[in-house]
Amino acid sequence: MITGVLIFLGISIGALALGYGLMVRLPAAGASPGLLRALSWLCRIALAATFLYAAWEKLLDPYAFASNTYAYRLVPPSVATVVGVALPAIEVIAALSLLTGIFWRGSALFLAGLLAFFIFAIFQAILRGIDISCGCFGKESHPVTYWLIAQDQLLFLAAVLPLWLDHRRRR
Amino acid sequence: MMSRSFWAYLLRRAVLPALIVVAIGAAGGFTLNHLRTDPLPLDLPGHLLLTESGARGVFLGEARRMFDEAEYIFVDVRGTEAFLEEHIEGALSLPLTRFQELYPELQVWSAGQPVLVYGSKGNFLEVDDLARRLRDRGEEEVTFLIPGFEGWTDKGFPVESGSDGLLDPAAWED
Repeated sequence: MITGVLIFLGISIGALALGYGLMVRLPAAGASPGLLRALSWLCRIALAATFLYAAWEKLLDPYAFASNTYAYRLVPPSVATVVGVALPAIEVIAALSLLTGIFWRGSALFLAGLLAFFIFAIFQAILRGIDISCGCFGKESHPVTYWLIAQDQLLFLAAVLPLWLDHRRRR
Repeated sequence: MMSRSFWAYLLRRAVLPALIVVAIGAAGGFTLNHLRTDPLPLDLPGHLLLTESGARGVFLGEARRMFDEAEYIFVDVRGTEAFLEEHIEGALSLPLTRFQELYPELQVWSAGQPVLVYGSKGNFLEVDDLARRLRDRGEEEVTFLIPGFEGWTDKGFPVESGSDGLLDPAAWED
């Protein structure tokens, strides 16, 4: 348990340091607006591509996704089935919105919140010793590991960074 | 790092669009589910969503495709009497009470093909128990029919009667 918490803290500190570098140090170091805009777009494209890929498999088999969601033992079956039906479609809309720019800030905020929840769900599953597939990419089986938490933290950063840079530009 | 003005920015510029994205996506998701051959029932009980055996559940549309393409061996877990009366066309009978005795016969018949287990709608425990036993014996792909035999017949899918499919060698001699 303590080892798990320490590993989680270590990964989180790494992600925070990366976030601090990209969100504070890089703009302060006089990075050009063009570079920051390119960075923002890169994050949006990476995030959109990941969620489009993730949503595709889940859309094909909502039962498998609902089953994976229920396996985390965080929500009742009725919620797991609603998530299985609705979330993949929301992910597709959010990804398209990031790419087209329509409501992109809302999509980035939603995906940041979703990723924060994923990180919590995976972490509690590891701590409770629940041996499950993450369900991140539909039927494809990925065991829940700290590596997955690190990946989700990077995606979380990719969701927050464009918002932060947009906010900074408007100040 | 996250200043108060950033939170204000999120509230002002991101929260409402986020709600709109969620609403549009959810509406799309429910519509898509409604249009599927096998819509996911929102009131599916937990034991059918996550089985003890780890077997994957299938709905009628997918089961019918498996049946048509003859990819899967259909195994009936109900008692022999119910099987003789009516069963899915081409299914094999493997009542749980005779598992030890009849499993070797199933191995011969299935010849490594993946298995779909079905039983009565209200008797899921037997189905899951058989699925678990098959998985314990190394059957890699075991699925089960979520709506049960009654769901299959309600759809008018092919059924047959009689002793074809009994795994008991004694039954063949009769």
